[in-house]
Amino acid sequence: MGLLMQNEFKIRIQDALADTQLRQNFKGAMHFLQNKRELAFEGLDLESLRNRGAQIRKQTLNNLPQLLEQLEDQCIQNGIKVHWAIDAVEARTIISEIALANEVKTIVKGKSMASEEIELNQHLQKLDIECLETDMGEYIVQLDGEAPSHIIMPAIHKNKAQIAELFEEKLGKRAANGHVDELIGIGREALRTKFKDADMGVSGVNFAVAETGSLCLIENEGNGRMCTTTPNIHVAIMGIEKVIPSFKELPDLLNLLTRSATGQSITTYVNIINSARKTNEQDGPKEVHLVLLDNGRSEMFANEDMRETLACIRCGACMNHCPVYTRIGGHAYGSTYPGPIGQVVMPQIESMEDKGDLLDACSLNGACGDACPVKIELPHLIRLLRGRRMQSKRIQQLSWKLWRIMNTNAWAHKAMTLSLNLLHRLPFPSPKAWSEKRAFPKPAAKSFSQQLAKKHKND
Amino acid sequence: MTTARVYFFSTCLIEHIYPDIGFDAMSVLALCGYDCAVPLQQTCCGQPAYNSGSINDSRAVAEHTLNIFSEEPLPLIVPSASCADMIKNQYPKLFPYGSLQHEQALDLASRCFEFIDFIAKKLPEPSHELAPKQTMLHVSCSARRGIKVQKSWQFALERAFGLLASEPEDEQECCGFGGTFSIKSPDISTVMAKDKCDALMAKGDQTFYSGDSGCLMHLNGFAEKQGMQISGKHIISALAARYGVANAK
Amino acid sequence: MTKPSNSRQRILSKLKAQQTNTNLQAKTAPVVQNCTETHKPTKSDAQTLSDHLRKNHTEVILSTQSEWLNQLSRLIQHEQPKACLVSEHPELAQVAQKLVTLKGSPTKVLGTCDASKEALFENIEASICFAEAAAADPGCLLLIATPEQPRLLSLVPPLSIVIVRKETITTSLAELSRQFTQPKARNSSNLILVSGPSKTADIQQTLAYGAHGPKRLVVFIIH
Repeated sequence: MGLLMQNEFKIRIQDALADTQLRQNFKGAMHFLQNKRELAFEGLDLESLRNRGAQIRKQTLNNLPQLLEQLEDQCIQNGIKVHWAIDAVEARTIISEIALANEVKTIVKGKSMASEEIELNQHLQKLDIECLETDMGEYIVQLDGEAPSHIIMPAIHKNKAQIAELFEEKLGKRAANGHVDELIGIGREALRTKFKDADMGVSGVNFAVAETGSLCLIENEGNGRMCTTTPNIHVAIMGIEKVIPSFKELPDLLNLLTRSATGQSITTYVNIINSARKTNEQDGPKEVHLVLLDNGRSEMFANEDMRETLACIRCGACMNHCPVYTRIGGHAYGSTYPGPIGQVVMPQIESMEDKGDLLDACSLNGACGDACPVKIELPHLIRLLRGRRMQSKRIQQLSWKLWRIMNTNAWAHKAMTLSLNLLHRLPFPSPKAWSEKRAFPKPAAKSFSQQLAKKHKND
Repeated sequence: MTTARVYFFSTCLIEHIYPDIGFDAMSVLALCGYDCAVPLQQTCCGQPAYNSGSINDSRAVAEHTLNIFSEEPLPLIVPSASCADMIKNQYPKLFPYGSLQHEQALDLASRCFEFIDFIAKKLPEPSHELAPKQTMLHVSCSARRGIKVQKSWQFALERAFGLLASEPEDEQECCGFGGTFSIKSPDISTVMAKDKCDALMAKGDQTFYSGDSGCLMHLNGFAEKQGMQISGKHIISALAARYGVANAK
Repeated sequence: MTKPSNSRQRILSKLKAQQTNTNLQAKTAPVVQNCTETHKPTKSDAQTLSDHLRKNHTEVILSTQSEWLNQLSRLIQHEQPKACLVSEHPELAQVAQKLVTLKGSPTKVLGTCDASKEALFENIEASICFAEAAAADPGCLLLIATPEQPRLLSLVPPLSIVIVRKETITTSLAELSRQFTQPKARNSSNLILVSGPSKTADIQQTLAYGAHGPKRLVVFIIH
C-alpha cells in the first residue's frame, strides 16, 4: 500500500507539473494572494500580532477539555444540541440521522473543511439526500465532480474560460461575454431557489466561543448566512480545536485570519450564531445542532510535539507561500488539506502508511512557518513526522545509524573521507534522481581536512 | 595587526567537495585579522539527519560538535547559512532545558556567526573608488529566514567589488535544493531550479553570487546539465580572489 | 434519534489525561495585549468607518437627524424597487410612514410581518434595517436579530440599506465585541457584522459583487 501510494503521489506530481495551464493558474493565484497578504499587514506590527495569535491559541489548547465542556454547557443552555464524534464515520452518522429523522431531501451547505474531511457529501448522496455546495468556488468544484484544490479558494485551479464551459455544459447557461460578473450571476440564480427551499443547512465553524456558546462563521458571499438561516434545521460541524475562551480573543484572531487568508481587514460578514430561532423571531432555523469532531485531534493533543498542529486557524497562508504547492497545486496532494498544513495534518488524521509520502514534498525552506499567523513551526512538525514515518523503515534507520557513527568518531570520519576519494575514481553511478537533470558534483581529490593536515605537517 | 583567534567550521560540502572555498575562507579571515583554529575531529553539523527526522542521530552528532567547539569560548565561523542556522537556531531545541548540553548549545549559538556576516564590515576598504555595477544575488532560505544575513551578503559585495546586488523576481522562493528533497522529489526540485535559473538570467546576467554552497551546487549542476548560460559564484571565493588571497589554481 | 455514544467521554478523558504535560517552554516573546485595540486613529470614528466601508464597495451617506429621512426617501424614489421591506426596529418607526406617502412612487412598502419567504426571495428588491452599533476600524456594522428585524432582511434583497447612529460607533472591533455579551445581544439568536455588499473572488481572483446576498450596501451614518 505504502509503495503504491508513493507512486500515485509521484504520478500526480508529474501530471500537475506537465499541465502548463494549471501551473499558470496556480502561479498567478498564489502571487495574487501573497501580495494581498503583504499589503494587508502594511503598517501593522505583524510580529506582535503573530505573537498574540500564538499565545491565544496556546492558552486555548492548554485548557482544551475544560473549554469544550464549557462550550457544550453554554450551547445546551442556548438550546443548541451538541454531538460528539470520535471519527468521520460517527460524524457522518450523526448528521445523516438528523437528516433522516426530519425527512430532509435537500441540504444546502456552506464552506466547511471539516465536512470535506468526513466526506459528508458522498455519504449523503448514497442516502439519496442532495447536498449542495453553495460557496461559489465549492459549487463550481462540486459541479465538475472534483474536490477543492485550496482551503480558502476551492476553484483556484480553474480559470474563467474553464468555468464558463462548465456552466454551459452542466447548467445549460451561456455567459455571453464570458465575464466573471455574468458567471457569478449564473451561479447566484442557480442557487437562490435552493436556499429558499432547502430542508437543512450544514456549515462549518471558524471559532466557537465557550463563554457564551456562540458559533462564529466568517464569509464574503452570504451563502453561509443563507445556509444557517433559511432552512429549518442547521447543523454546524467543527474540529474540537476551534473553540476559543471568550469574545475577548475573537478580534485578534479574526484580524489575523482574514488578513492572512485573503488580505482583507475583515470579511463581508461575521456571522455569530447564539441559538435557534427565539420565540417571536420571524426567521432562523428551529433547530441548531453542533457536531464536535475529533477524528485524530485528541491523538495530536496527546503528543506534546504534535499538539501545535491544533493551533491552526485554517487561513491557507502556508500553502499560498509554499513553493511546492504553488507548482503542483492542491489536487496533487490527493488529500483534504493540501500544502504544508496538509502535510502535517493528513498523516495524523489518516495514517502514516497512506499519507506519509506527502512529507517528501517539502524542501524545508521555511516560507510556510514565516507566513503562519499563529506561528506554527510547520517545517519542524514536518521534520518530526518524517522521523515518525521512519520508524517503519529499517534500512533508512540503519543508514542514519551508520551516518551517525561516521560523524561522531574521528577515525570513522577519516575512513568515510578516504572511501569517498576512492569511490569517485571508480566508475560508480551517481544517484539517478539527482543526475538525470543535474550535473553530479565531483568529490575533491583530497578533502579539506586531508589538505589541512598536510599543510600543518609542512609548516 | 593584532590577530584574534576564531574557530572555523568546515561543513560537509567544503570538506568533501569544495575544499578550496574552505582555504579561501581561512585566507579572508586572516586578511581581516583572524587566526583560525580548525579542530580536525570536527564532522557534520547534523542537519541532514535532523531534516530527515532522525532526531536522535542528529542529536548525537550535534553533541559531538558541541564538545569540540566548547573547549575554548571562541567565535565559531560557519561558511554556510544553513549550517549556521542549524547551530544557532536548532541546536538549543535538541536538548532538554537545564541539561549541560542545552547550556552548551545556547553558549555556542551565541558565538556562532555565518562567515560573510562576520567579516562583511571588516573587509578592507577598496584603495580606489569602484564604479558601481549591478549583479544578481541568490539569497538562500537559511540566510533569509533562518539567520537573516542577506544584508551582509549585499554589503560584502558592495564593499569589495562595488557591486549592487539585486535579487531575482520571486527572490523569496527556494531554489529547490533542500538537501534530500532534491533527491526524494526530483521532479518538483528541478522545476524550482529551472524557475530560479530563469529568474537569475532574466536581466541578461550570466553569473550570480551566493553564499551557500548547497544552492550553488544545485543551481550550477542544473544549469550545466541543461546547457543554460548561467553560473553561480561563491561569495567567499570571489572575495579571496578580489583581495589576492585565493588558494585555487 | 442518534444513539447515545460514549465518544464524549472518550474524547474528554483522552484530552484530560494528557493535559498535565502542557508545560512546554514558552515559544513566544512577551506579548502585546489586544493588538487590534492599540493603534490610535487620527480621524473621527465616523470618518474612519466611512472610509473603511467605502473601500469595501459600500455607499456611505453622512447625514443628520433632520435630513436622513428625506435623503432616504430620495434614494428609494431614485432606485424605484418593486417592493421595499422595512425593519420594525423602534428607531425606524417613521420610515415606513414616510415612504408610503411618497408621491408617485411605484415602490410597495412592506413591514417585516407582511413578507413571506417566497416574497422575500422573489419580489422584494430593497430592505432597510438599523445597526445597533459599528466599529470604525476595520469598518463594520453590528446587526442584531430581533422579532422586529429578522435575519434575512439584510441578506436576501439585492439592495440593502442600513441606518447607524454616529454615537454608537466604537473605535475598534475589540471595543464593539464587548457588546456581544450584553443582554440585548445575548437575547438574540444571531449577530451579524457587515462590512460591505456580498462578494466573491472565487473565479480567477476577480472580485464580483452580489454573490448570494445584496449587490449593493448603502449606509446612512446619522450625526
